[in-house]
Amino acid sequence: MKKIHIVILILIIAGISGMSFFVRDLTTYETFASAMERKEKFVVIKVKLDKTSPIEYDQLKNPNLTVFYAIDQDGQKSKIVYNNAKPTDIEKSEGIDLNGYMREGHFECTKLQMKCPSKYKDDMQAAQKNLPGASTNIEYK
Amino acid sequence: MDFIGENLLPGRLGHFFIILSLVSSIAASFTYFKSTQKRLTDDGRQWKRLARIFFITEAVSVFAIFGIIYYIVSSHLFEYKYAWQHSSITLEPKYLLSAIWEGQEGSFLLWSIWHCVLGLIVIRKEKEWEAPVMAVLSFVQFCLATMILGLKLGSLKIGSNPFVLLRNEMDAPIFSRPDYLSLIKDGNDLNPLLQNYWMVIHPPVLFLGFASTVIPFAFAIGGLWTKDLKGWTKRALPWSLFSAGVLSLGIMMGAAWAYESLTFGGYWAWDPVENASLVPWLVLVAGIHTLLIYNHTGHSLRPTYLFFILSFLLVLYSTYLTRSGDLQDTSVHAFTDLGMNWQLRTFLFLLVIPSFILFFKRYKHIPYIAKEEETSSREFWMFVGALVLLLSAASIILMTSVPVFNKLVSFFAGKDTEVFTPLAFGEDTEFTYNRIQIFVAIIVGLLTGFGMYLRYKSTGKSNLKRLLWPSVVALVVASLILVFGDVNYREHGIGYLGAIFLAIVASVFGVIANASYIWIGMKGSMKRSGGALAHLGFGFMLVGILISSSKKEVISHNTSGVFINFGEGAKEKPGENLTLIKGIRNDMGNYWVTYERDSAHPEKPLWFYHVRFESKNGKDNFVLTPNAFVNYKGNEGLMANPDARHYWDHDIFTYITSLPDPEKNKDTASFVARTASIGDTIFYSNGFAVLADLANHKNIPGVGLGSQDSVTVASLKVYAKTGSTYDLEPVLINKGGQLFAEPDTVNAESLVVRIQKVSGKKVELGLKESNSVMQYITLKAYKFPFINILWIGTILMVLGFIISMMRRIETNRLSLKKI
Repeated sequence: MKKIHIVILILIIAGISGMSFFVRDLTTYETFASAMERKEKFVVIKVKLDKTSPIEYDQLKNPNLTVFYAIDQDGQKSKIVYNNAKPTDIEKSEGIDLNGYMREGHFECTKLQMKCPSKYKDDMQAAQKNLPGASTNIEYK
Repeated sequence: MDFIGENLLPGRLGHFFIILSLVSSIAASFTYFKSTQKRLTDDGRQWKRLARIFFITEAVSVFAIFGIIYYIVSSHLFEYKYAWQHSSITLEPKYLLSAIWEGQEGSFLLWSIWHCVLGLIVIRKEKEWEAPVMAVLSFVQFCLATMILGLKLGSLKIGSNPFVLLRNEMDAPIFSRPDYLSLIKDGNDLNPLLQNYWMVIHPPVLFLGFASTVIPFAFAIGGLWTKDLKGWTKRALPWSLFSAGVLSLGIMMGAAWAYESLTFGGYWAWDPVENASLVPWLVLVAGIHTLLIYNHTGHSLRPTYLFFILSFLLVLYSTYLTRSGDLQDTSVHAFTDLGMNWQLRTFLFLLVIPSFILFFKRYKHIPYIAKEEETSSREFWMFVGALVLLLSAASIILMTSVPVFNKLVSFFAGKDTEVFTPLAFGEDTEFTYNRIQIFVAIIVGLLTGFGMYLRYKSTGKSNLKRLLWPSVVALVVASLILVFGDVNYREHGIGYLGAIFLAIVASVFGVIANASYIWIGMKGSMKRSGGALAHLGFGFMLVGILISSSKKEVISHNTSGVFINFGEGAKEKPGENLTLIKGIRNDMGNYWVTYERDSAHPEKPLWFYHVRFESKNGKDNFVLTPNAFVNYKGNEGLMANPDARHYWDHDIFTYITSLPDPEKNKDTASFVARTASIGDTIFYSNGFAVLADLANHKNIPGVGLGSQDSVTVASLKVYAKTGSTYDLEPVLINKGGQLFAEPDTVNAESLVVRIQKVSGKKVELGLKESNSVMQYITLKAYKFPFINILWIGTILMVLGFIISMMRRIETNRLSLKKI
């Protein structure tokens, strides 16, 4: 065996062990119900903001606490506690990926990723308001 | 119907040039293909002459398309969707260019333009390799031309055309009016976050980097195709150095942009879009090293082919990743889906499959040397380094591709099956990457350091001895940094801290060994020191990255006293956001900070918040003005831009994370009446006020007050619970029997006081306590140490690439002359 083969072998072993750390750290997309069964485990849940409940954020009392409600893909509603400033435009989000832990009675979100309506549609709707005599429902070709 | 005021000529010209560029690029690929097949014959030369005409036509069309778009955007022709969607009348001229490459169509065009420029240089400079290289380049140009074609075949959409008219793209009643254009006064403007000088210069540089990877790729493919398997290697070297240099500059400009003007809290977040640009660079640099090995020793030609082919294909894969919308779940700045996914995938496969078929078909014929490299030889360790870079690239791209993996598996397994739950990243994305790449940094840092001291073929002891002093110095310097720099990043355990220590030692060694090599090995000849300089810069970058990220500090930890409760089951991590009330000095890390005032942009809803930082030791005092767009063009809420104070050894960096919600702070409180005479005390919820004086001025001529009019001024001293005292002077003006009250406010106490009535020595005061008078901002602030090392390293590395490139061009020219 050539030396370079030994080196390649070592690198491959290192690569595989490195990647196995990565794979072990991967988590899964869950719902509130399935996350309940894996409490204390970091999970990701796809939700929509519950627009009927208010978003609580008072930066005078605590700039690092946002509380809101969200509905998962099964239609289940849960309280979400996010220990950070209220994300800009969360009211307009179409969907949210919540990252965090299911706790007793609420979901503790450590990181969230919002899916906002695409800029394109957004522009169209915004522009719609500025166009005189426009109807309220636009269709996109 | 005839519409009034439309300027349709530029659009028609634009459509024409798009078709022309499509046709001429396919014609150029065909004729260059023919020319390559019949090279070294008169026929081949005929084909080449024809092909050049086609390619030049293609280049002219692409420039024309770009020129027309620029005309449309700069003349504010809002009948065109592109202008309406990406620009506005108030947009500064320098951002007109940014508006063009904000959209997908414009960025494809930018890419295409660079291909044209590079192609013209290839035609001028590369004699025998012109035909195969240009055949590949023209074909890629053809694929790019289809991206802006905008043809609809039934439900199939081929490309997205930048010259479409607004009225054809949107159904709204106003478009049934012939004069609709007179109602569209302004466009939607460039996304305010992109109104930044980095957005003007970063995309062209990055796209030149992306575009130029096609040249080494085309050389490699040309070599395989024409079976002249080794003739291209010397010609391709300067091109690949150029590409790597520009790509490094582009990537790091992106990092600088993220750092200076976006609110990601740093210059690198392992975002998929960032990874997508880094991975081709890593593979390209690996390719440059194996190419150098081949040119000096005859080893490693096969991997060189593989690396050059891969680096371009990875650019395409990255394009697919960032533009297809498949990454929207994991990336903050991927493009939105334009419904062109199938086309992007086709583009990818059209180049991946033939390239690999060709590579494997010719693999056996690619020359190689059966004899093993010496362990003491430079080529052996360079090759190890190249493998490490490849492995690093592979791990990054695999990790970035998790969403693609999810998509693939659920495509085969069917959606919502029990078999497969889509995978997501764990808690700390950055650590997930860093944990692996830190070992790459250690190995590469060491290799760049001692690799330069080795000789090709084999290295004698005397050469190795030259390494002694640099190693000693590096060890001393690294120890000093570790001891006095207080690198103490324990968040991920002692093992990881150990890895950071090792990486710092390795990269310091890389810096010092390469710096001394410029003197020891090259006798200070800068012309020949391109390689050492690039490695030196890279070492600096590693040092900068390691120190700045392991010593990055959040300084806005919540200490305002406004809030201390970590309730709701939160982990005891102190929040990173801090609320500052206007006029009140706050404790923040080593600073006192005060939100002093704000000011507005004259034309846009852009607000600047003046925040004063005073260091507690009294040595430093400065104002940062982070700004934010508020409710901009239908984008409700806030788009913040940070501000930073730069020092030689660290930056103080801050941005707004939240502003008061105007809905919530509607003034609902009302004035409560209190009667008082001089010396009386009035209580409010957070303290009390003493009426110190009451002055009544009558008959003040010169200010428009008549003999019957009067002005009453009350002087109050407010004693707040917090221990602060404030002076208030509310005023009541009685003019012609009409009363005008001018209240006075203590912002910090949310207290408003006005005079409601005066009767002799007694006065009726109105007190109001309302949050609506309180002005506050919520911000985050960081301290980044030694970020400048990273920027200096980048500049040195790019210079190194350029110097190497110049030198290789010169040696190529000299060797041509000899023949």
